Amino acid sequence: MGKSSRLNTLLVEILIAVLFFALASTVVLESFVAARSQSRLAALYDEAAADVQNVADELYASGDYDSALESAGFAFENGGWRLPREQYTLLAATMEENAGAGKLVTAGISAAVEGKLIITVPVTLYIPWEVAP
Amino acid sequence: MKTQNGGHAISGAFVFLLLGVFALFSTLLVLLCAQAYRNTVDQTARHRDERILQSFVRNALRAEDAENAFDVYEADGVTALTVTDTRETGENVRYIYCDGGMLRESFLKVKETFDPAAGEAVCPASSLTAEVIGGLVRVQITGTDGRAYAFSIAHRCAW
Repeated sequence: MGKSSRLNTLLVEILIAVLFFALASTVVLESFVAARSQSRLAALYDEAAADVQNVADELYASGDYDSALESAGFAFENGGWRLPREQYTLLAATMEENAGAGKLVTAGISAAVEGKLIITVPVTLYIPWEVAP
Repeated sequence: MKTQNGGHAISGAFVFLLLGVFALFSTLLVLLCAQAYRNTVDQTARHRDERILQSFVRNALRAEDAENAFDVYEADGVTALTVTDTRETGENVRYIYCDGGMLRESFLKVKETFDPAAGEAVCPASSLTAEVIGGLVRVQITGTDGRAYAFSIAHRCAW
């Protein structure tokens, strides 16, 4: 085998190796990007869930949902309460109904990411008429 | 003959140049991936710590949800969230506090003296502050990385 032929063979071998590694790196990169975005999404869901839970607890403690939502920074728009956060939006809907010797006050606190609801926590209190404000 | 030798030299140089470029890009790729992996792991660890801290305190309070069961106790520069259990024959107090870079808990009888050093370590955390406002407990825990996690827990049974 001549020198030129040996060099050409080496070049082809190297090209094949480069191609193989380029293919492998594409797969690896894709996996890393998927893992990273999944981790970020999980972190966002976690943060939103904790936020929703905190608002729900604030409502439980206050008993007066509307004023508690207002003091938490919610704004009443289009028939519902809304609080935009950096990466998600908190939504709340409240309802009152008479139930026997008291009233049933219900609220649903949700978090939405890009218009998609990711978590909803219901808050329900039964307030007897004797203690109702 | 001269042209042939020149051609070999160029082909040889091209092969090594190709190898060099390949090695450079491979190294860059490895560094990039390692950084992405490290970021992902760090972020996951941070959220795991936050979840552990939150669920530990939430569960501790939920387990003893009763009127006047929660309070804040301060001694020797340590702020402790206290949870009093009155269901058993004797009154027991559970102290939840941060000391020595760890979130700790200590179970004591009401008459026993609180000693921060005697508590059992739960997980790493650098400080804890708490306030009880009516039926709401507001807790802020600072992790070892300096990030603060604030959360609210309401009484369920004693509103």
